Amino acid sequence: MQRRIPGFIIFLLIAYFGSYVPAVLAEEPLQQIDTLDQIDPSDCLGCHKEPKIAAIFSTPHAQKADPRTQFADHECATCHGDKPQHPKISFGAKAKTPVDEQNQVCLGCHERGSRIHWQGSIHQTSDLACASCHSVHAVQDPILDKKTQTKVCFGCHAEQKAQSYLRSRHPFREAKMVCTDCHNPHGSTTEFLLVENTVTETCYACHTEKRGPFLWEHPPVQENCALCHNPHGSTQDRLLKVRPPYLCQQCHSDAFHPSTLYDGNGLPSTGVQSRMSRLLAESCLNCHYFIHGSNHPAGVAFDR
Amino acid sequence: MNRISLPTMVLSGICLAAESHAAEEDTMDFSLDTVPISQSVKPAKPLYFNEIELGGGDTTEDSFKFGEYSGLQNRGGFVIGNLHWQQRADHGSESTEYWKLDGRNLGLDSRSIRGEYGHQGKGTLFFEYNQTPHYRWDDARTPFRVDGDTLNLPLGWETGASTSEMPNLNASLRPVSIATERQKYRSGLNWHFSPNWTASINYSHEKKDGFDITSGIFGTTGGNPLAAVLPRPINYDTNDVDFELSYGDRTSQLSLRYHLSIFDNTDSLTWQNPYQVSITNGENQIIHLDRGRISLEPDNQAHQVSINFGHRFDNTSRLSGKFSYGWMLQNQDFLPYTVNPDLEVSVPLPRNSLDAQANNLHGNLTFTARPFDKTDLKARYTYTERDNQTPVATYTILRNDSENQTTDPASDLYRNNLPYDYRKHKTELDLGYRFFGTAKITAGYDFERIDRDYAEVASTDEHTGRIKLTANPYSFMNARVEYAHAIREGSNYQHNKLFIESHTQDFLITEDNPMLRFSNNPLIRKFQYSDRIRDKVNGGFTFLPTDKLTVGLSGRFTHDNYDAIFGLSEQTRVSGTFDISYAVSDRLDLHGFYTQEYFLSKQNGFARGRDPQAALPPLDTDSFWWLDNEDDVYTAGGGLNWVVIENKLDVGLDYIFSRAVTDIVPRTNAADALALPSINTDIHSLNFRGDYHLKDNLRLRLSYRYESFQTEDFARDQVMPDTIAQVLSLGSTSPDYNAHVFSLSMIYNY
Repeated sequence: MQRRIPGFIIFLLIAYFGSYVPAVLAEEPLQQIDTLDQIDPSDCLGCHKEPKIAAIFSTPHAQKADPRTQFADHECATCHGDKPQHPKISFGAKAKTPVDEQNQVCLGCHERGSRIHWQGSIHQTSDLACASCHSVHAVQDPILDKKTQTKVCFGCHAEQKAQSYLRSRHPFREAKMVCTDCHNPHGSTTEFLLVENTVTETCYACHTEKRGPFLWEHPPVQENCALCHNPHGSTQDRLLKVRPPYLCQQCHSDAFHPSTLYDGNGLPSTGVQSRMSRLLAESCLNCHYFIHGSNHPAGVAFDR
Repeated sequence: MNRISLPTMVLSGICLAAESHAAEEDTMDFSLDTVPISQSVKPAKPLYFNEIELGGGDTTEDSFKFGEYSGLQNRGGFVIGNLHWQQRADHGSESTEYWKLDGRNLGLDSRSIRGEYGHQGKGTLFFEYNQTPHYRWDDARTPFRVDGDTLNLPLGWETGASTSEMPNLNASLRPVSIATERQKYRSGLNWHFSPNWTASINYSHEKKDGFDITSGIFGTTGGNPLAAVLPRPINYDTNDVDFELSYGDRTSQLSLRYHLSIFDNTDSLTWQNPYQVSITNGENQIIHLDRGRISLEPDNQAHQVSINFGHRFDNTSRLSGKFSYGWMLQNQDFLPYTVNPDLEVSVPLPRNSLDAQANNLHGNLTFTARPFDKTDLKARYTYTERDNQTPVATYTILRNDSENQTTDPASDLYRNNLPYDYRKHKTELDLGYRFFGTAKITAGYDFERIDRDYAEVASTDEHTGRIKLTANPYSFMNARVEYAHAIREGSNYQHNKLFIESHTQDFLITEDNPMLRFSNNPLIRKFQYSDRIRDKVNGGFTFLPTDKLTVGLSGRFTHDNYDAIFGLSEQTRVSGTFDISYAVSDRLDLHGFYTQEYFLSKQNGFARGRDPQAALPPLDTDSFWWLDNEDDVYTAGGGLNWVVIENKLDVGLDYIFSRAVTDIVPRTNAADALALPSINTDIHSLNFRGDYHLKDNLRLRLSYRYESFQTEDFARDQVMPDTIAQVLSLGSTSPDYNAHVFSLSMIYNY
């Protein structure tokens, strides 16, 4: 057994020292917008009194004392442009401002951290506006709230929404797991915008017990979990694409039981015991349960 | 598992302490009573950002499946507790201090709490507690009694040759809840120590406990296994630490990260054999195989160092990339070959532990540019490697605690471990051209090469051509369609490569004919390596004829054709969605959708016995079989949000129906295959919410949730613990439920 990290000691240290975060060093604005006129926000709010617009003043974007926001200097024009009479830049999927132009405003400050790989990502090349997903004026942006994030994503990703209602699924509907646990919608260096380098590394983030390395390895497990599993939901238990024994038989056809066709003869009504033990209950896993790998010196058949 | 643990209370205490500290220290404009909107910009209606919901509810059904992740698994009452509380210094003040406290499902096993305190632009401290249940089966029954890492049978247990010959099986069955729970504590600190630099540290500890299942068997061949599905105690601990340093300005960004993850688990599970099994040793002594032991997932560590970077050369050209190097370590002490001291073990383990190490390398460079006014370019190269350094040795297998260990060096039980690894190169090139001001066509080409060790195919190459058309001809209409064609070809398929490499030369030469040295069918092609042609089409269309109406149509088609005589030969996946939303008025909006998904998987097999010659041409066509696995999934839903009486009463309603039908259709040449019943799942889910506003910031919420789940699964229904002679199962059936949840709560905004 490996030694456990004394978690609470670390936590308490973080908590204690964290409350004495030192003041920032010399601060300079990230983005200089010298040509903008000083705009009194009350000019804008003279017409735009709706709470959903005025709510911006209770969000991080409007925090004047944070030099990064530039709200102190330019108020609404910081993002909406330099025409006090009316915004030059409008945001959203239906806005007249071209998506590239909209997104440049956001990227001016936010092209860092998890947005480093935005350029060239599938959402960027599909001309998705930041404001298609983000509600910047909202005090709690729905896509940044675990409770409502999947609803935003499912707005476009209908197939994944339908899969979340299948019998075997991850806990998306309860918001115990959200899309950004596995995907980075702002782009990543992998297929499917995964947050980690590979599918397996992404799955290992929660399923650390499957990381191994094991003495007896099952190659598809180490290569790509999605060879056997549908992560968004499946008609079969354990998110499997096809149920065993058929899934296993797509690769394994050794003599005797691995190559046998398991048809209705394996149902309890027929009483053909040799078929039932491979078709019913956990199927192949009735014996070969350690299919993700075994560290038992006799576990070559993933049965120990 | 329905409890608030001590650490949760400690975390909550720390949060409150931090909050108190913040309030005492801050002498600037920050005040708990201040509505954080400056007077000059106060909107027409007061804004409330904080919310407390308290109430109670009642569930009518005991069902693990209904409460699978929600914590509503038990019939009876439950407490509703939700909280969102935040304060932020006035937007015009000198301070940037803020804090947030969120609590959800506080009365359920699925509760979560998060607290955050910080000075925006300076630093943030947060903590989080998240509890996630996973209830699987509430009708499992087992004769085993759990004692730590041992499963014992009750006193007086009489073994049997099969499950139906265990005289006191039924009397000994006790219910066991197959359910696990994760409790995760996470905390962290980030510090913006200059406008461009941020450092952060995060730590998390996750405890997963409860019961899952596993299996244990006795027997030495595929023909005589005696298996038991076992309730398996889960006792996982995972600790993760992250350090990150990041830099960002208008043109360049960089982040450096180190991640450490340590997994800790119980070593093994020992169980008492419910079957009557014994063997005779060389001295004619009878050895009872009364215990078995399995190795649980070993303790492991993973380290990773990564660098992400990006640089913008001008407004349209950017280079970004990632370099990541990780190493996964595992050095758990091996269990002995057998738990049974009476079995003869003559050949010692080649090592005491594996000393396994797999190094993972990932590198990526992406260049995007707009070389001409209407032209977009993207070029990307990605390299991913798993370099498995785990030492290879020969292990002398003693099968399933069921035999004396062989001492014959020519036995097939002398086996080498095969540390699987691979190297993947992928190059992508995309060229897009914008025309008519509203349309864009993109052509792309990808090349992927994967080199593998310990695989039937040493190298596979895949070429993919893509073309995509997007158009927004009018402000009320947009459309996209994309087609991709991919051809994957592998080097020579060495069907017996793993067989050769995992056995010793002494064993291999026992078969004179090298052509017959195999185990898996020589004509089967494992689908991740086999030659494949893939066609993909996907598209979508959105129509917004008025500001109030949105109509969408989207679909996807994927077809894979595998070059395989046996194994997976073809897969097709088709899905389509129609969705509509309509804002009837400012007070009423309606929405609905329908999704249909079809999945077909075709595979071929060849039944055979001991004679390996039978697997070589000419093949006996009577041994051929075919199997189609078809999924049809229909999902439809609709709902409304309706302000019935302005500022007084609003309601919300959502209904979703899902029907999934799996048909498995076997066919064979020799005789008519017996059909298998369809596997059906129907789900009706209805959610109603009605909010009655007692005051501007006080609502009474009445909620009703109905969910019906009906499923039929031949693998579980009517399978009792003694139904299968050679498998002592848990007897759990596929779940059905009709659950009603009523709740009443008060929501206060402030």
